[in-house]
Amino acid sequence: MQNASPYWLRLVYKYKDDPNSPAAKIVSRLPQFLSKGASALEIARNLQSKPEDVATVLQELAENDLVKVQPSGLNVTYGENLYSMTSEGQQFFKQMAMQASKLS
Amino acid sequence: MSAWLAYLPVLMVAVFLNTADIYFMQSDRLPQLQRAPSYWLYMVGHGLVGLGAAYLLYRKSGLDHSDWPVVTMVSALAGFSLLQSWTLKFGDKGIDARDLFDAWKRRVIEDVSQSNTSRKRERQMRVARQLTVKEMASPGRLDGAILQLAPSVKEDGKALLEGFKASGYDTSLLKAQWIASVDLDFAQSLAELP
Repeated sequence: MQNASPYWLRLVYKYKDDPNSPAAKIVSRLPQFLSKGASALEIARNLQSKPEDVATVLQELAENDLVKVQPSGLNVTYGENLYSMTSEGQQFFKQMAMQASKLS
Repeated sequence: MSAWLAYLPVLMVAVFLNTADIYFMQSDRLPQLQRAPSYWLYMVGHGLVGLGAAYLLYRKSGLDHSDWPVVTMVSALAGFSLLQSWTLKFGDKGIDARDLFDAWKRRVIEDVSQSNTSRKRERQMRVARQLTVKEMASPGRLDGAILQLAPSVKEDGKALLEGFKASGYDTSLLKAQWIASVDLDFAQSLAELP
């Protein structure tokens, strides 16, 4: 009996189809931040990206239950939330890494 | 060597191997693993598998308690490696221990990530409070840090400072929170400056 495809697979293909987009580049480097909790602002600083781009990606992942959102308690734009990895998110990032290694 | 002592290394090696495995799957330097209940459950599971394997080796294979190094290595690795890739199939159906342990491990990582995040939130708040006190004691003290950090998030430092002033909120608090949110380690070192 085959398992049904995970619901987040369309996101994997979305990023895979445009690997040079800012969003795909951000997603590929998110795991190192999400296991210790990070804000969009902190991730943007480390990736030299715009905080709004990072926030958009994180929001999309959060809507798909791939990252968990916790309010930081800080009154800072793009710093008001801390994001961490969910169980499904780990599978998603593993799949993303596999796709990236196939491309390279 | 007492019978119970012969099982102790098995437990220690099983816990060490699996803790190291979890540790390297997350990126916090000092994760509070003990705060995640699923971590303890995971360790108990692997401990029991290791102890079960050791029991079988001592009782059924004729190995003596003085052979504890061999039994320890074999039984701890049995839980860590063999069991995690074990699959028993009958036609299309079967027991896939790898999937089971993978799902369990992912749950542990999720719990540890949440625990790390909660600890970070507490640290951000504490460091921001310390920086606010410093800024209130000598206004403008944090401006240099903000001007320095702003380009790294593609922001204009001067515009940020003006925005804080115009917001109507406590400017010192906003500056401190912004620095703590962008770079917590840097914020902490600023807070520790005399």
